[in-house]
Amino acid sequence: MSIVEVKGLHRTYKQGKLEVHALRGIDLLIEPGEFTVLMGPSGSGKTTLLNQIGGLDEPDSGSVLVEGQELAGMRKGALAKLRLNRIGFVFQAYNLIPVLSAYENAEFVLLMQGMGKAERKQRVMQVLWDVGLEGMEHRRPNELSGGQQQRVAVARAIAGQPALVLADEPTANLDSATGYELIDTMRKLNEEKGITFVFATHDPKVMERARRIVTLVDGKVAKEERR
Amino acid sequence: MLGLLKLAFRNLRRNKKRTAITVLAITGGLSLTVWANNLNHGMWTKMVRIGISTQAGHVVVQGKGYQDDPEVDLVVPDSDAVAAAMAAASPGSTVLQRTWVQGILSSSANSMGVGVQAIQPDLEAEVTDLEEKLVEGAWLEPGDDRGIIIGITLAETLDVGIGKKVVLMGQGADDVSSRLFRVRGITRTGAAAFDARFALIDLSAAREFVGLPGTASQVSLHLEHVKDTEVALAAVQGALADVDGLEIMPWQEAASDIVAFTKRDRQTNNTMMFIIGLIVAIGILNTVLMSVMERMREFGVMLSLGMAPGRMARLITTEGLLIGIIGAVLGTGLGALATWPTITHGLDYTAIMGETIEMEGIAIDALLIAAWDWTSMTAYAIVAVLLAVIATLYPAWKASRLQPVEAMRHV
Repeated sequence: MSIVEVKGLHRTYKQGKLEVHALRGIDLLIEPGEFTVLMGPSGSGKTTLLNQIGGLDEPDSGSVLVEGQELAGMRKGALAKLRLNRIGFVFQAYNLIPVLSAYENAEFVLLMQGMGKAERKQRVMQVLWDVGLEGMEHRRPNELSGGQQQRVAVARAIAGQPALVLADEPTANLDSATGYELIDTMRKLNEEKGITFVFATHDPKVMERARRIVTLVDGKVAKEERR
Repeated sequence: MLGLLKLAFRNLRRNKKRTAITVLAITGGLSLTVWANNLNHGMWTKMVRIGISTQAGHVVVQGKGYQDDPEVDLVVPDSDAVAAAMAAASPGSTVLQRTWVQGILSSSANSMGVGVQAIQPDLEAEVTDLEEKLVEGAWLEPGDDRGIIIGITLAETLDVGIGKKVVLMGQGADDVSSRLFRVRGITRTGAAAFDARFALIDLSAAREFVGLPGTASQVSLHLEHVKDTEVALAAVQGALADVDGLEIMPWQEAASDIVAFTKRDRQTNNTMMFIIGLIVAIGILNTVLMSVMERMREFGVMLSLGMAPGRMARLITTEGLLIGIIGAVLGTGLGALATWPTITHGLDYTAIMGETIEMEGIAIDALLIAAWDWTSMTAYAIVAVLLAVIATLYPAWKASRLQPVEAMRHV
């Protein structure tokens, strides 16, 4: 079973009087364990598609299935539960909770999952180690560099042991070397833990590491390439 | 729930300034409320105590119908025996007899309509502080059937001093009666009506004046502790079950005017406190709403990470609950601290109000002594917590309606 199944997905936004057709009938299958990049120019629909897969936005028509579950029509609570347990997010702007430390940010999802204290601590320390942030657990986001903050975001995304991590332009705010390090970290997590990664990016560094590249143009899949 | 509590605590701890402002609003409002209420409670308690001791008793026995229509011939017959039975039924209490007479008190200079209270001087001095209000002369001796104590304004009106003669004329049981008295003492109670139109005589004189020997208008039982009233009432009812023509009542009925006044005053007080509470609640609502608007992006992230909208709402109300609890504890504590010196030393209103403050015909010292009102303190603390939670309901609802993608666009 595909981990993500997108069929005939349409999404149109209104910007004032203008209608922006962000997605115009996307069909896409993503298999477990893939390291897939959605690429394309700005406005091609990458982020919109990622938000649809993550259940953060609703389509006008078409369907999205994650692990066989249809997202359309799902109650908000059930959708939240699916995100909490099966999907991790990494955002371009890190989106860490500013008042929480690196440890607490990574712990957040586990707290919501209701995990016990001892297990939580072990898991958080493990994921912080996985992303190379050991010793920085008590730092708040404003005490970390951009690369370190994004690593915290990755740690948070994988802490709940999701099947799927959706990363929207994760390297856009990072310098080249830091970007490579982050991508390599995620690739390692993909290979060692079998987590499926889907990126929305036009960063060549990410594309270099991708096993599959899906090119979007004007809200449609224009090309697919497997490596 | 524990996770939610932990998250809520973290949010409060990490946004110290915002938390402090909200807690301060609750603490300030609640401590003021607690302090003011304890002061009022002290005043009401004292007022009721004076009212009970001077005009009634914790348990009162009167001739049937006297409470509604205080006629001079509606008396407790054989009141000495009734008093003895009451004292036996409630050991440790003080039982005294009183008779009230309306009449005109005349001197060679002037006349004035007065209310005269006939007392047993030795027992009355045990129960009331009227003896301490003497400014001239001496307290009545038991059995002094020609002595009278009058208020200072009445003395001035009649232009009489200690040892001077006055004549009381009024309605006896059968006919108009008159009797000569000599002024033994002059009192200043601070209650204008009492000082101008009131006099005290010995019970024996009243019995002769009215023409009903062995009777009293009222036999009252006075207890050390007001909480013992119900037990004493039941004991008196039992002891006098075979005596016809009596009405037996607790102080709440016998001093119903004072009870009604304190109840009204307490309601007014509670209304004021509720208004203060509402103002504080609006302050909290404003702070929490601001906090939600500020944290829109953060909430968007939480929702996208899988926090359910209902849980998001509960997180915000939990923050309100915690703020409410902290504010309630601090506010009650601070209010209690502020109350303490007004219990040990009182709050002196003498400079503004004079020696006494008169309410409902009762004069109390202008040095107000507060009293702990634990019931109200608990109620106010609970209301403060509830208001803090209620104030977060709208912001919580608003946050739960957020669309994660929209919310994360907020800067």
